[in-house]
Amino acid sequence: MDKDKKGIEWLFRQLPEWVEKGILPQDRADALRAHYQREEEGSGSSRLLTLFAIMGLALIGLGVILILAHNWDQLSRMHRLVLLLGQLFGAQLFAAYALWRKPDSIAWCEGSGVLLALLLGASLALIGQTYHVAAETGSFLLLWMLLVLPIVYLLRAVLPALIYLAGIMAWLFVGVDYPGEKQWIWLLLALLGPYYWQRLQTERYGEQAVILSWSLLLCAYVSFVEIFQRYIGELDFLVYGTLFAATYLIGRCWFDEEVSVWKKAHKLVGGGGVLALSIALTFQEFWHNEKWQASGQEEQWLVGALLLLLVGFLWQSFRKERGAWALGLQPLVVAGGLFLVQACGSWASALLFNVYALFIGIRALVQGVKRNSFTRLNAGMLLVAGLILVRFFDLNYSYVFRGSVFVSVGGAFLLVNAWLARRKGKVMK
Amino acid sequence: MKQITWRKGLFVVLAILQVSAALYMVWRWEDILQTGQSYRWQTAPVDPYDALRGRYVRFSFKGNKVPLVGEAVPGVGQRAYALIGRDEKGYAVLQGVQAERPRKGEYVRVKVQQVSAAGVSVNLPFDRFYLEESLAPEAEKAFRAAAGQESSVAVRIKNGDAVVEELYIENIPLLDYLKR
Repeated sequence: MDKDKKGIEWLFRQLPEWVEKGILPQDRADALRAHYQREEEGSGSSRLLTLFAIMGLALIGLGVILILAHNWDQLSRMHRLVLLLGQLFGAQLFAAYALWRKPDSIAWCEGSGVLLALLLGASLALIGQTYHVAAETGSFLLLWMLLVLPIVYLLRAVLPALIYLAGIMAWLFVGVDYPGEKQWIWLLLALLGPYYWQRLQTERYGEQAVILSWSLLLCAYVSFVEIFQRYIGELDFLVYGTLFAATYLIGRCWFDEEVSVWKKAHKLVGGGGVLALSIALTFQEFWHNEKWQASGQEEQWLVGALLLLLVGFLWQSFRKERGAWALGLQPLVVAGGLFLVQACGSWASALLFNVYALFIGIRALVQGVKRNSFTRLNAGMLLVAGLILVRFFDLNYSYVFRGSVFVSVGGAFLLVNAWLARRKGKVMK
Repeated sequence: MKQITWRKGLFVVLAILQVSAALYMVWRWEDILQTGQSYRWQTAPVDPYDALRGRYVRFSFKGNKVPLVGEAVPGVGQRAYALIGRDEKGYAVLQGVQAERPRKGEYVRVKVQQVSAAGVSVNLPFDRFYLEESLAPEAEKAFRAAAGQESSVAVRIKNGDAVVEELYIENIPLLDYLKR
């Protein structure tokens, strides 16, 4: 570790000389410096320091907001103006220092970005307080967030992006006067797109990109429910099934490298959603009031658009020759279920989903064994076991019988895992 | 290297934009306070809390249901314009609401709350008076104690925008009243 540090220091001393002699072009030297500086910051104790620096600055920002909210009536309007401009200017200087002198330091860029974003909000709020401006929460949040957004791009910082996301979500819930206005949220989310894209290009599974993946996905789902829930009626399972399947396919097509599972937000959210919905649909009760009929024109359009999107992702996924169809085609099974409800009754649809979920589980089990993958094997086992267990809650069996089934399923888990571990050991030898 | 210069230049632009946004807001409200027409409105205050901007006294107005003027009917949640007159005591009252900006006369921009045959209910753009956090509950107590007395708010209005100047109980500015 120490050796590495010395090596990096040596490299940093050499770089200007190499550029001068023409061994290395300037932009390559900058890239090298940026890479190693970030690497250094990303390691152990300096990462902790970075975290503390950011937390400290965020707390200062929040503290200033609270102190100003006290509303000092000794202060004249002129004093308030000086105060608000002073704190804003201070935060800007801090961010400028980060950009001019420490553009490659995560701590400086993230920390000063958060401070500037918060103090900007404090300044705008203080004006509202001074002039007793009525609650135009919507326009206040929009102005604040649109002035925060460029900070994200200029300082390349992910925390101001999270403040931006929180701000536009707050706008969606409390700042909108009439429902039609809510559709603007898609544009507001898209404004973060180029930054996200750039993060994905630089480091697809880096911390910044992963944090953004999770939060953007969360915001998109929350916005979808908030805006479209009112239109979704009879075809709700189809709508959410398609949404989850599409998310899963995005994960399969573009975020499917061999990295830790938490770094694949799309696959986890989409796949988890598809599986949870499928398990729910194995219960007959869920099908009682369903039928293949849209409750309005909006729902028809919504289903149409989502299915089109799904077909696009499916095509992309087939082109890449990846077997994503088992989960990706779940909406088709939902549609089948909807037809069956009308043709035969709810028992037929529930049966269809029992077969589907069992198939997915066994398929994952088999693949897990073939590829010696514990994750797949256990995911498959979990699904099959879950299916067996919910069926035993569903039907009225005695406690002793259900207890025995639990014990056998648990035993099977242990045995299969032990067997795979032994097999893996042999393969390794 | 080129890219970082770009970002620096844009940062300066952003910083100027952020300060200008703040200054523009200050100028806008200050201008109304200095040159706007002065009105007194009768009110009845209550005391809520705003996490970001601190404590304030909120007031409601009598007779904010007013007849619709003109052909166009404004939708709920939309902006409209309320025409202002004065009653026999000199207090400001709303005389009518219309969807388009009036060409003459004094008016204030309002938000439509409800439209019915009886008239249009509107939210006035001034409904709060920010106070130091320890004073807000005291102010509420004072208003309750002075129930039945006249309380009013002085407002400056210009081109439809409004800024609150002072809150009065029995014609005494609120802060002076609380110090008594």
